[in-house]
Amino acid sequence: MILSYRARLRRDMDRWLAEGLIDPSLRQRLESATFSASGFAHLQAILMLCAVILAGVGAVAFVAANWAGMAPFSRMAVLLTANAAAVAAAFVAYERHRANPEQGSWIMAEGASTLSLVAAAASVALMAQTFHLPADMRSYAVTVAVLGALTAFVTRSGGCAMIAAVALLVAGSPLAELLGRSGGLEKGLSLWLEALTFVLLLGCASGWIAARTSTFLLILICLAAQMGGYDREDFIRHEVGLTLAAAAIGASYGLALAMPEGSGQPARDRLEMLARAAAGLALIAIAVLAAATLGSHTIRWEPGLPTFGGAVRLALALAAPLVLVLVPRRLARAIPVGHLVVLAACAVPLALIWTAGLAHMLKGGALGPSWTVWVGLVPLLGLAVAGHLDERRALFGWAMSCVAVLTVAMLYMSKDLMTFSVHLLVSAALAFAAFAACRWADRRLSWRLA
Amino acid sequence: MRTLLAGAAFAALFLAQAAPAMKMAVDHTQTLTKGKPVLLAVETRDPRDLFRGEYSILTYEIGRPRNLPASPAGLGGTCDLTRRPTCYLPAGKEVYVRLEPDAGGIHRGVEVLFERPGDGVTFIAGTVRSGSLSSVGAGNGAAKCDKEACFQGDIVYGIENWFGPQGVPAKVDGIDRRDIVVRARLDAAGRPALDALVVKGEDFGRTARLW
Repeated sequence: MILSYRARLRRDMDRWLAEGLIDPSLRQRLESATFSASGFAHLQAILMLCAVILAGVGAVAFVAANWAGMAPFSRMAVLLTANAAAVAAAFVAYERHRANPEQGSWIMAEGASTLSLVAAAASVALMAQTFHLPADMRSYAVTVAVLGALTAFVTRSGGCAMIAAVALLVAGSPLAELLGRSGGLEKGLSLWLEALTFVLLLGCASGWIAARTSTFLLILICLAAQMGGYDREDFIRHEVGLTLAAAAIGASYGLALAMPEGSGQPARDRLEMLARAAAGLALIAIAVLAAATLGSHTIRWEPGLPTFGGAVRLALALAAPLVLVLVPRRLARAIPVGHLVVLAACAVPLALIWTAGLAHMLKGGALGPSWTVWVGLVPLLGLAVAGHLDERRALFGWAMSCVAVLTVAMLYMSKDLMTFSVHLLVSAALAFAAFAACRWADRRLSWRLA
Repeated sequence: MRTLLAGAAFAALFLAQAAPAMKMAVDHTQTLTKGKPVLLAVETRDPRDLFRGEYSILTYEIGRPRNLPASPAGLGGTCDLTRRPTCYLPAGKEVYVRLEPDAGGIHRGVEVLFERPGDGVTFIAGTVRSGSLSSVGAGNGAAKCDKEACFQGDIVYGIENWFGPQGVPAKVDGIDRRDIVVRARLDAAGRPALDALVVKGEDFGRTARLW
């Protein structure tokens, strides 16, 4: 079980105390420095957040109650004033944070920046309503994506980058056509959307935009959808998601090692986040694939015309294991075992899909529902192992949740429990063999060291 | 100096954020004040949307042309009626419907064009949602056109929604369809802006302007 940071620290301090590394007074000082002050600061931040949310909802409700009776000029003035106030607040908070990063309110800057973007997006929607314009979801999403990216780069806000990524996802989706009078996605526009997504990714990976792992995950989902998901009206094409995840892990790990120690630290942190987000993308792709296999959809690799982006992605994915093994050995660093396990979790379903595709070309065939064990259950357990190794609670939790749901779904939906059980027993035998090999290697290593 | 630069960047950001809504408001106000007015026959239906409030869906007579004379010029080789009697138009194709007023002043669609007409012609620009072009005597239903081709299908003009205060769209829906028309204003490119609902000759729910 992966514990929270606080629980781990308490456990470690108990151990250090027992081993005589620290004395009781130092333990008390460490505890008070770590928990008491931050707890009070958190309470203040939460109370401030509650106050802002309540005041904001109240103001919106007040304006909405009087909206119909307002002239367009007054409506425009209200919207622009709200937008200007949010931008001004973002500027003040940004400057305060820049002057004193320790005490400046970055949360305020983030909140105000995101609020300014929401105000701008709401202004467009409300003006469209004032002039009786019909819904055009694609144009609206493109507008929000461009404004979001612009706001993210000026204010360095990760929240705005997340909104931009969601808007980019919607803008390219066929769903946008169902939610209004948008036409089909033109090739020129789709290229611009892809370029904007890469610019956003670059801004986040360089450390300029204060992105989190979830921001990177949204951008990766967006890229995976743009790289082929929309063609077949899927959310994410599993082979694209899996190869993109592997490529992102290899590229981000290699780039992070290439960064200089001191000045490159912010970018290294972001690249590590990107690698972690790629594991999230792999989890989503595996879950989508497992659902498709269990639903008796035809799953196999279908050869098509190669694209430049697809070739680059595949080359990076194939190079990823080499980057993760050879580069750390050359630099005398520990091999990132967690990342390697994620790569293995991507490789197993991909290998099966490609094998099924080749088999189909020779004599026909596709992966049946019982293969869900190999393309879903085993890779998800692999991701849970990676989460446990790297103490990544979110990855571990989500992977185990997916395993539980998938197991119940398999038992409920299966029409051939015997075949399922054979696949499960074979996979269990392999897991036991891996366990035995690990144990043997560990003992051998201990014996050599002794 | 750095604060000044940051201030300028944030000021530019505000202008960029405000620009889309401002442009939309100014463009539509200009069309509403300077555009050419036309009266269009319409049917109403009032849905409710969680995010967009209450509104009426306006179904225009010119939005559902049936065997309306059409000129295939502008379609190029995509629609050759000499080889096939009917060709289907792709969704999203831009069209121009030539309008002429009847005795009651209501503008009716008289011809569907695929090239923008010249000056002096009253026309409205729209987008094909689904439609087909048939040669005389072909196509679905009785072909009554006397031109080389007839258009049949659905066209949208971007003025199909009318947003009103709570409860009003439901009242609009209850009005006899013979009593209600829409006054739209057309800019030079034929793009319409919804000016007002006209009920029994009186303006009802006139679209407000910035100036």
